[in-house]
This record gives sequence, C-alpha cells and structure tokens, in this order.
Amino acid sequence: MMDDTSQKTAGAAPLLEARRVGVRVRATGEPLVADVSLTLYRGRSLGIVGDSGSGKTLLCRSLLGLLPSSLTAEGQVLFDGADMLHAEAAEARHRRGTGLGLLLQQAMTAFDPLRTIEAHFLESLREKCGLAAAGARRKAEAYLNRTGLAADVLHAWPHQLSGGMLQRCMIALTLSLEPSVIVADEPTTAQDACHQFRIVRLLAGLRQERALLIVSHDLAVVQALADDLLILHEGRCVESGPTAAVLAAPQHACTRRLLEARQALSRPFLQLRGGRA
Amino acid sequence: MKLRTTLLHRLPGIVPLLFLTSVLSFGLVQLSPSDPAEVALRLNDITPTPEVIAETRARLGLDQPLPIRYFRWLDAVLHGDLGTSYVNGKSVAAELRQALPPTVMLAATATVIMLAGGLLTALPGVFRPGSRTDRLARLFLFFASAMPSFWLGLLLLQFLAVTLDLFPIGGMNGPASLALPALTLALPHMPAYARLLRAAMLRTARENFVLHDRARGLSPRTVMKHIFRNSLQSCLTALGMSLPRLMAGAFVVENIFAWPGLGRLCVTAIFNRDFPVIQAYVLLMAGMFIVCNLCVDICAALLDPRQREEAAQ
Repeated sequence: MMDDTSQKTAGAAPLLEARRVGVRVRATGEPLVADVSLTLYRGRSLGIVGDSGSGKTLLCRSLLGLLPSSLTAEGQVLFDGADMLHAEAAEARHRRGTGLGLLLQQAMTAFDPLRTIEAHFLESLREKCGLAAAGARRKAEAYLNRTGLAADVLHAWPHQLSGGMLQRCMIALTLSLEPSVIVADEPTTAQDACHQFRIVRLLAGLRQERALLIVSHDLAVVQALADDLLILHEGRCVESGPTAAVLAAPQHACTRRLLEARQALSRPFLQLRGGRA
Repeated sequence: MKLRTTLLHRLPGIVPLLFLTSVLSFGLVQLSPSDPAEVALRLNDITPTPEVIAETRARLGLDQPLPIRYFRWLDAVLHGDLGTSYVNGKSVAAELRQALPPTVMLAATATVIMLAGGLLTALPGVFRPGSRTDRLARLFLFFASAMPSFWLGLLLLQFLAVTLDLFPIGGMNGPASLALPALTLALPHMPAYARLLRAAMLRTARENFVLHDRARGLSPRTVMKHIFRNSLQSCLTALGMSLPRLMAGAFVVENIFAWPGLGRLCVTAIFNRDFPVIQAYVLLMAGMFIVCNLCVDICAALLDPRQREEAAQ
C-alpha cells in the first residue's frame, strides 16, 4: 500500500510492518478497520490522518497487539521477528514498552491514581530495563526535562497535574523506555501552542534513530513530523504517499475535505489577524 | 501529616455520635414492656408479691425517673462501670470481658474466611469472565447469599459434625471447634465481597491507565496488582459495615454452636430482661461500628491520595 517513494531506505529491513491489518467486532463480525498495510523504517515517520471514528486509534492499538477482547484482529503486524497480533502473550509483551512504545490519546486517565508519577517511572524502568531506583530516577528526570517538566512532578499524584502536564509525563515515561518504534496517538492535543511546538521538536529529534508513527487531527503537526502520510476513511486506507505530495495534490475526496476543513478553521484566525481568507 | 488532619477532622464528630448511641441504647431497652424486677425475681425463684417487687425496684434503682436513671448510668459508664446484672448480680464489665475474646476470635476468623473466599470466588470472573469456573463460582455465591445463617449452621452441623464427625458439635475446644461457626458466619457475607470485587476489578481493567500499563509491557502480575489496588475502595467501605455486623451477627451462630461469646450472653440477657447487660452490649456494638468506620476511613485515606486531600479540606 505504501508506494515506492516512501522506501528511500530501500535495502534496510523495516522496523515494523503491518500486512493487511483488519479489526472486527467479535460478536457481529462487523469490520472497523480493514486491509491496512504500512511499513516503518528506522529514521522515518508516518502520519495517519482521518476523521473521528475512522479507526486510527484501533489501528494503533492493534499494532501493539492491545485490542480489547470484544474485537478480533486479522492480518499480520511484524515487529522484531514476531507477529504482534498472534504471538504468545509473553512474546508480544516483551516487545511492548522497550520495542514498541504507545502514546495514548487520553493522558488525563493514563496514570494510576493511587501512585505518584515517580512510582510509574521507577516500576517501568525496573521491570523493562532492569534499572535500580537511583538510575531510574536520573533517567526519569532527564526525560521529563526534555519535555519541559521540572523534576518535582515526580512527587506529584496524577490528580494534581493538568492534562497537558500528564501528557508530557506520558511522553517522558514512554520515551524513557527507549522504544525503537513510537506510536503516538494525538500526542499534542492537550498542549498549548508553546508546548506543542516543543513536543513536535522532541519527536522530530527522536526520529533520527527510531521510527515514528503519528496519528493526529492536526494537519500542521503531521506536516511537520511525517515523511509519509496515510489517510484513513471508515477503517480503510484511501490514500498514501509522501506527505508533501499527498497534501499538494490530494486524490481522494476525503483528503480534500480534511484539507478544506483545516483551511476553513484557520480562516477566521487569519481574518482576525487582518489577512485575507 | 495529612493522615493526622484526617483524624483531627473525624474525631470531634464521634463525641455527639457516641452520646446519641448511649441515649438510644439506654432508651430502647427501657421501651420493653415487661418489668425487669419481676423477671429477676422469678428467675431466682422468688414469688413476686407487690412488696417484694417494690423493694427490688428500689434496690435496682428502677423507681427513679427515667432521665435520672439515664444520667446515673451514663456517669457510671463514663467511669468504666457498666453496672451489675439484675439476674445474677455479677459485674457486667467482667461478663463482657469474658465473652468478648471468643466473639472477637470467631469474628476475626470469619473475616479471614470471608475475604479469602470472596477473593477466590471473584478471581475466575476477573481472569475469564463467563468461563465455566466463573459461572460455577457465581452459582455458589448465589446459594451462599440466599442461605440464612441459622439454616446453613444446622446443615453444616448435620453433615460435617454429626454424619461425618469431622468437627465438634459445639462449645469452644481448640481450633477445630472454631471452623464450623466461623464458616457459618462468613458464608452469607462472602458473596457481597466477591461481587463487589469482581465488578470493581472488571471495571478497573477497562480503565485507560491499565491499557497504558500494558502498552509499557508491564508483567501481568504488576498490572493485576494495580487493578486490585484500584478496586479495593468499594470493598473497604463494605468492610467497615461488615466487621461489626459479623460480631453482632455472631448472635445466631453462637447460639447454634454453643459458642460462649457476646451473642449468647446477650440473648440470655434479653430472655431474662437483664437491662444492664443488654445496654452494655448495644453500647459496645454501636461503639464498634463507629470505630470500625473510622478505621476504614483511615485505611481509605492511606490508600487513595485524593481522599486524603478531600478530608484535609
């Protein structure tokens, strides 16, 4: 499904490869995502764009083999020699966190309310990286700093932090496990413009040695981060290719609508600024 | 630090509550239509002629107006004196002290059985909802909750003590004699916990932070630990009500199994219209409810930082 322009690193083995992934409701067999294929290479990033309900989040979850039990997956997600969709539970689990990192959409509820942020970091780094408390704390502080948070959020409870801060905590936590592929589901929704820029810059920097899959409504974020673009519509891939090409000459009606919607949204702001719509 | 604030906020509220319980435990007993003086005389095989009754009433202080009797009783209770039994003239405090340890032992064992059993029957439903073990566990819980304890106690006696002769029939002789009464006491309470825990854990398992835990590749044991801790709140609240209820519920069970505890003491006192014993028992149980609820609130605050802050505000 990815066209050949995306395979600039031809010859290198892909980090993650999804082959004809589909998601169905177990009880009724109704398809929610169908026949989506994508390939992620080291040092490259892929943006997934689509309306709400187009199956973006489900696709992200299926890449990690984390679908709810009411849904079934078909196809293959190959990562590090295993099929994440059909591998043994333990085999898939060992690849999550340190191999495949997922940034969840709702950061507000992504932390255990009964434990401090520090407990989340220490536990994850101990279990996944074998780090002792002191080393884990240093690493946590370093990654929190990169997202623009002070080290004292470590002692905060989740309910004491704002949605934006929790989102940055989650980014720091996910990145501290140093995954080779980062699947980011709307990673900047709860951020103000300043932090949004900071996170985009951080993710862009990480792309060098990793692969990034970024889901967003925000075409500006996708444009800044994604080398390639995949447009999802009603669970199917309707268009894909290099970001610049897709945005310059959208082929599918859905892509055109998304672009128009974005222009319509920014029009009032431009008018407010005195510019012409 | 925050725990101390929680305590400081809760403790003053307990004083009026205790006062109210003392009024109720005294007042309700006084509503009883029969004359305790007459009953006390009959029990001691003395023919209750009007003169003797009047004399006994004067001796027991029953000829005084109700408020005066209440304040005398309260004054004595506050000084640690729960009065003497109308029937045998023994100190009520001494009788309670003697009957309390067996009841506490029975209730504690029943609590352990209740919690362990509740957890065990809840887990199949958490790991594999709808599986055969889960359905079996739910069927068992359905019967356990529908079974009144006096009937269950008699059945256990019939099968395990009489027919199979595995346990003693009654009395308090060693750990074996504890098994049947504790089981009888625990079983009807167990389903509530199993259901609360099962529902709470299934609900928590769908939470976003659990998905986040799993997305980080944490081990199933760690994830389950987080789910469990986050599901305890409802059980903890229920436990605050159950603990004293188990002690009070020992009433029936203690009588079936001839267990020399508080419940049996109280039932005897009720039949004998032995007011001081009944009042002391009611007061003790009410106090137990208050203390247990306070303990549960403290535990909840220890468990959940949000509750600590709520309490401190």
